Amino acid sequence: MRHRCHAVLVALFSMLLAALPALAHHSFTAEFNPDKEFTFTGVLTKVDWVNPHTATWIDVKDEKTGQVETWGCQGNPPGTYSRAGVHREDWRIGEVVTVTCLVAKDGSKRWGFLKQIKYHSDGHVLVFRQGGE
Amino acid sequence: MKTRGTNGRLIESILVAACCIGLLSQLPIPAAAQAGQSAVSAAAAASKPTPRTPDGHPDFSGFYNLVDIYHGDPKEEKPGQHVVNRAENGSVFFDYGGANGGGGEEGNTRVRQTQNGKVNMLDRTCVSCENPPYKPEYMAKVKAIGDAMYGDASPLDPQYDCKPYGVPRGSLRGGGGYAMQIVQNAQVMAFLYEDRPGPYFRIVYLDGRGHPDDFDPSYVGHSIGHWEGDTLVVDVVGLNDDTWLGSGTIGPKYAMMHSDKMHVVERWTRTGNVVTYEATVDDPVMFTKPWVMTPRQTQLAAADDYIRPTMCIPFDKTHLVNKENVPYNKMATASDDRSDVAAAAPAANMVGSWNVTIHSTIEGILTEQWTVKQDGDKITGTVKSKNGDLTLEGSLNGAILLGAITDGDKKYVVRGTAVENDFDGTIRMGKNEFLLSAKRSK
Repeated sequence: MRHRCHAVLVALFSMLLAALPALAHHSFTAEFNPDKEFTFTGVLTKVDWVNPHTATWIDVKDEKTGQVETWGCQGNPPGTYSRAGVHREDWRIGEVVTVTCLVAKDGSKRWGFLKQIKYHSDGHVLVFRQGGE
Repeated sequence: MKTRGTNGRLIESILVAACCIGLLSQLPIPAAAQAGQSAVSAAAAASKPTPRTPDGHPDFSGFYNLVDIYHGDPKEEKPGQHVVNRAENGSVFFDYGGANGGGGEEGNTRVRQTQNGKVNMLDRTCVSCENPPYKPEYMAKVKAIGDAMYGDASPLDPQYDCKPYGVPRGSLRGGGGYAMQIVQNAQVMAFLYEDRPGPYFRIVYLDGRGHPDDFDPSYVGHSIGHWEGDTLVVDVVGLNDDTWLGSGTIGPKYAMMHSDKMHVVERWTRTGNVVTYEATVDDPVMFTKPWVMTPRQTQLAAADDYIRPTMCIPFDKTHLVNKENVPYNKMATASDDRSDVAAAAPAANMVGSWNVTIHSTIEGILTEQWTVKQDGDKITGTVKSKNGDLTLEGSLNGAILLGAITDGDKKYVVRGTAVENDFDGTIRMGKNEFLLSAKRSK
């Protein structure tokens, strides 16, 4: 299966938006930087549909070393997704995806907060926002 | 697509839970009484008739959940609601706390609660709530913990080990969510909670028994209740010291640890579809006097809501930082910091013509054509849209674009990820944010 890491890229969102309210999902900004995102490509291997937060797992191949590493991004609680109409079956295990996540504040490698999943097979995306950020 | 969320599954969940704890002679699902409440004002909810048991007491039975459910009509979105839109191509836009209603701030920093029959968006840190009257040596401890926290999150909080919220912190909600099924008969009142550490329950005995002499401390203790008029008064002992009392997530910030000598007296009332919870907490080890908690309320959930039994796995704890943004867990090193990579990452190349599709939940599918130029990480462009020729400006950080389209005095903020010939993200047009996808044509 084809899976490769395009790059690890990070963004600084700043100018265009007015000062935005701190995102206070109880531990959200105590763990993640809402202003920094990164993007990577790999194979969606698993979603943990667990409290207090879901976790999405992606196997990413390092282009330089050829080694496969597991990356994870935390999401909102399963009950929150489910009650709004986002369901576990929206995570299509085994597909090649490009994922965008927020950076973990503790500097953890390969861990973030889920912002977007793009499925390469048909191009559809799951986009996640935190309250008008 | 699979069928989900049926009443059958609701009933099945309740049956399983009820059978497990073996206490029911009947299933109390007053379907008619569980009319959708999420969009109904608390005053209206409180004015509904209060259900009664055959022996005349208020019947608390029902499924309660404070969280509003959004059902997909953009005109009906309200601040604080979790919003999801699905495009015809399968794409999903989810907003925690509701971008489309423009209520993100309230949705995230406040929780919807009712007090005295009135909907309030209470500050989730409960700043107006009374803190427990800790003795000075314990107050010094909780101040030190609280003043070091980023927001309301501390790895010392037992909830980050997925331990139960316990009594009184979790009486109205169990764990992190707000979902709670109450099942009541003449002998017992059972609270069935959805999460943390997983589906679990609490029993209040109404049959006149006392507390046992040999009870080992637990997260929910031992509860006996009696009626004073329409108020159920519950006496709780046997609580362990492995829960917190509140601390921001629910309750005031400096409501943290307690001893296993804690004694809680709760007063439960139901008015219409609204349940009010009052409690007095005494802890002779840590408090100078009993702590009278600020009353809390919840109300019946929407008619189609149901319990979602879920286990808890503590992913958060090891990643928490303090208010200085320093990890409590010192494992992270400078070389792990992705910001170094960020500085080195080149901007994606977005030069060219892009066919853009906007999945508006108001106007349906809109198409635009962007012609993009790029100078380093800055992009400029022209946009051919139904509103005429507009301008696009933005900046790339790696693959992430933050930009805006200017349409007269309006700005549409565009955010997304560019990978090769695809760009995917969202565009905010006025109060609403829509999915946007683009493909480079040349």
